[in-house]
Amino acid sequence: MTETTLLGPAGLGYLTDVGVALADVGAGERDELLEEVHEHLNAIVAELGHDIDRDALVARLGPPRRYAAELMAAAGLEADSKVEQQQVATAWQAMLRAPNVAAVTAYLRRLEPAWWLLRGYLIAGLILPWAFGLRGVFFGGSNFAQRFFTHWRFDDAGFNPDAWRTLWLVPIFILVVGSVILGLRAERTPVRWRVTSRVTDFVGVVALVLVPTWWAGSLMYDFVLRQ
Amino acid sequence: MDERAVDQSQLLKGVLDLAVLTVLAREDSYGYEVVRQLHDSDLGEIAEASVYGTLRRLYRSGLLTSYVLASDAGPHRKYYGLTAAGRRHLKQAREEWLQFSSAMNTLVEA
Repeated sequence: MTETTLLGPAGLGYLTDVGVALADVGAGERDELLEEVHEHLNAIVAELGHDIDRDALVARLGPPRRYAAELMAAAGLEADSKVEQQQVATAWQAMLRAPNVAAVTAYLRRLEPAWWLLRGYLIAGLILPWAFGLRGVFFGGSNFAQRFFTHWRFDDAGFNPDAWRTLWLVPIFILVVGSVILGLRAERTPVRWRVTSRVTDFVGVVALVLVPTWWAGSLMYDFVLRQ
Repeated sequence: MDERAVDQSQLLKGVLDLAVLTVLAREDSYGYEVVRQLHDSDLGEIAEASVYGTLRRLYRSGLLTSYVLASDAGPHRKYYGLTAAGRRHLKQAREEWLQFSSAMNTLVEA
């Protein structure tokens, strides 16, 4: 490779990053390409001055990874999936910025608090039956606790199964409030909250499918029992 | 890059080979000079890396030859020129382009 002393720190750093991004290219071709990149950077540094900083280089040439992707694509070195991904990402961003899509997105964002409430409730519906054997807590079917206490005739001793049932509103309430707090935090706090919120979204969507299925199953079960 | 520049750069991608070969047909030149001449041709925003990549590909295809010359302004420069195969390719690509652009002009002006 040609000498690198004229490039200055910004140029050298940029060259190194392009080299890293070209790691998948075979060694011989990679050296040839880096020779071209080096000459290119030399010309730009000579034109814009040796004290040029990295931001100015990136403003002119784009980030090193994109530079490398464009170089490889134009050199026909691969059907460059990176460039295609970038184009898809750009098209996606452009689509999100389109006026109609942006309006729908804004509308959906306004509905987000409602989703947080529903998400908490659905997750309660997903977790509580497994944790406590309370299939009927939400859906009015027979439930384990009710049968347990009826069996032991605890209700004769003043234990009212219906009153017992309302106790389960507590964990439901905690999960719903927790889901809302998580949603609010994810708006403006570190990445881990956003990740947690996305994971919770996923569990919520799973619950959205499973809970109504259980509900329907439970109603069906009770219906069949009554026949 | 604004939307118009993106459109222009997409258009240019399809004809970059022809543009580079045309510049080099005038006289042998090095990468940055080719970039500059394309800029001066009012072709809009050009991804400079694409020009260097195109030079490498055309060279590998045997359409260009290359040699290194010392430069007064700094490090040596790699010059590119057309091979005989490059000239034949340019002639054919030029004819195809003229035919295509004439058809497109007729279409969009109708």
